[in-house]
Amino acid sequence: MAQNIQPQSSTHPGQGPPPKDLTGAEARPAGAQINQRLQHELMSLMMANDKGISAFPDGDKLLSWVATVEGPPGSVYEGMSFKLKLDFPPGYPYVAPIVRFTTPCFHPNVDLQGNICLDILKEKWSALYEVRTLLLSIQVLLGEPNNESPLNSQAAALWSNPQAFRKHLTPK
Amino acid sequence: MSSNDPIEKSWDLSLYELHRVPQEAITDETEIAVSARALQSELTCPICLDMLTQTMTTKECLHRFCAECIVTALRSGNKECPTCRKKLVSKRSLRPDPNFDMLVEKIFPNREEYEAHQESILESLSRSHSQNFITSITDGIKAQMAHVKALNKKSKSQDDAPDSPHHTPITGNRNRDLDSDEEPTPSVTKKKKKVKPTSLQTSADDANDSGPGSSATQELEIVFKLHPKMLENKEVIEAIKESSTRYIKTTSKALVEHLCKYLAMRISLDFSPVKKETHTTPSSSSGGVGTNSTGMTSSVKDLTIFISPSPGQMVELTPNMSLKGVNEKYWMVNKPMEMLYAFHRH
Ligand SMILES: [Zn+2]
Ligand SMILES: [Zn+2]
Repeated sequence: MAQNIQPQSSTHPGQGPPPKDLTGAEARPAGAQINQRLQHELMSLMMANDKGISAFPDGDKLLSWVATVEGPPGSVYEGMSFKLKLDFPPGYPYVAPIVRFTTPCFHPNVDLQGNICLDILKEKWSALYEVRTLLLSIQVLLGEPNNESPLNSQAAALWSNPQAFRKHLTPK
Repeated sequence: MSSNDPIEKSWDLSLYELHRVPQEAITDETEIAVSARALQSELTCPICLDMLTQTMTTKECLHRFCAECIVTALRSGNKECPTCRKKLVSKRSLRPDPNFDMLVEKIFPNREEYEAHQESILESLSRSHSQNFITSITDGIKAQMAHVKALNKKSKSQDDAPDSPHHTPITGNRNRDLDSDEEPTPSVTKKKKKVKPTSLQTSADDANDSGPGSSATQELEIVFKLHPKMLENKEVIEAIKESSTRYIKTTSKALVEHLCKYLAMRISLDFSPVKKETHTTPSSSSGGVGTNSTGMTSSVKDLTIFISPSPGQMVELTPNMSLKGVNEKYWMVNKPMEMLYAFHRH
């Protein structure tokens, strides 16, 4: 409710070299913790082997992943595949990752920059969500948008008319 | 328990709690099988996804977390139970759960070994995208379960239990005796049984679904060597000399692209000077979550993979090719595929 997690704020992971706090006072440096958690997540993603989602660290950066989500069967997006980018702020998993579509996605809750309006990415975030659950939620969102508070009002208006809606979907 | 815990005045019992019938205690020799996966998830902190350390239980909803994890979670603004969103006003909505810690200790008495094991799995995970890790993990747990069994019925001999929960991770830089023991084709007999059965072999015994050789997802073994042209780069040689040859076993469905990513990730780890943290002393961290240190600043660029179908010939593999495709097109010999890799750094 009142909590204001703003992943977009200054918590964005810097690109610079990690500040090394090697005083030894800390039991586990946060970086190691994040790393470990993300490795666990990577493992659980592989173990689950879910259909229609995948995610992977982007090159050598464990704090930035690329993911794909396939359009849910039966939805207007069926047969389409979307790429997303996930950035893990230093406070992860206590703060949500920053998730964006990198392939254009015409959807009521996705803006033209690919930003997603999804409660669990914002105020409903919980440390218990993982990349896997996030991607599955995003996949659900694709098929079941929240048309009450659209980021893309055109898409929201067209949603009830799948034929017209499909015209806005860019084939890959 | 802690003395400063005020005694709860009343506990409202739910209908279920009021009416439930106690379960009959098991007094005979009956053994109850608990799936290793289920057990592990019970003992895992849902925040760090590691084994619970200094367990804290929420007083109302009885969800468990590591002390460090839940305190950090509360501090970062969410005043609710991460599991069920029940309000958690403050640390006082939590209580330490030493009994649970004892339980964890009972079940995983050599936790440090277990953690070392986990770590080696995680380590190898970044090397290879393989089903094997799963069996490897279940094996680690299984070894621990064997220990539990031994605890339960002390009389029975332990001969069926692996004598050490310490397994060698399946992947690693073992490039010497590739063809000797872990051939995916079942026809090959295990001629060299020098060590205790590796996790792969153990798991083959217990009818674990997608075992090696199963047709659904075939596994392929690949040996990666540094491309000769890389040998001129002294800095590279320095950094990865020990591990320049890598052994990977993975599903034939994987794409060359995946391998490139894994290799790039692994190699840049070699360039990074940051050592893995080994001590696990839990301490209340003082809001240290803000620091970003992954130790992965160096990066490997444009990693490309080549295969040499015949001596002197070198073909660059395209990212979207599947390993199955590569195998069929260039290899087709019943021995690990040999690939070469080259990359740039910036
Ligand atoms: Zn934890
Ligand atoms: Zn709870």
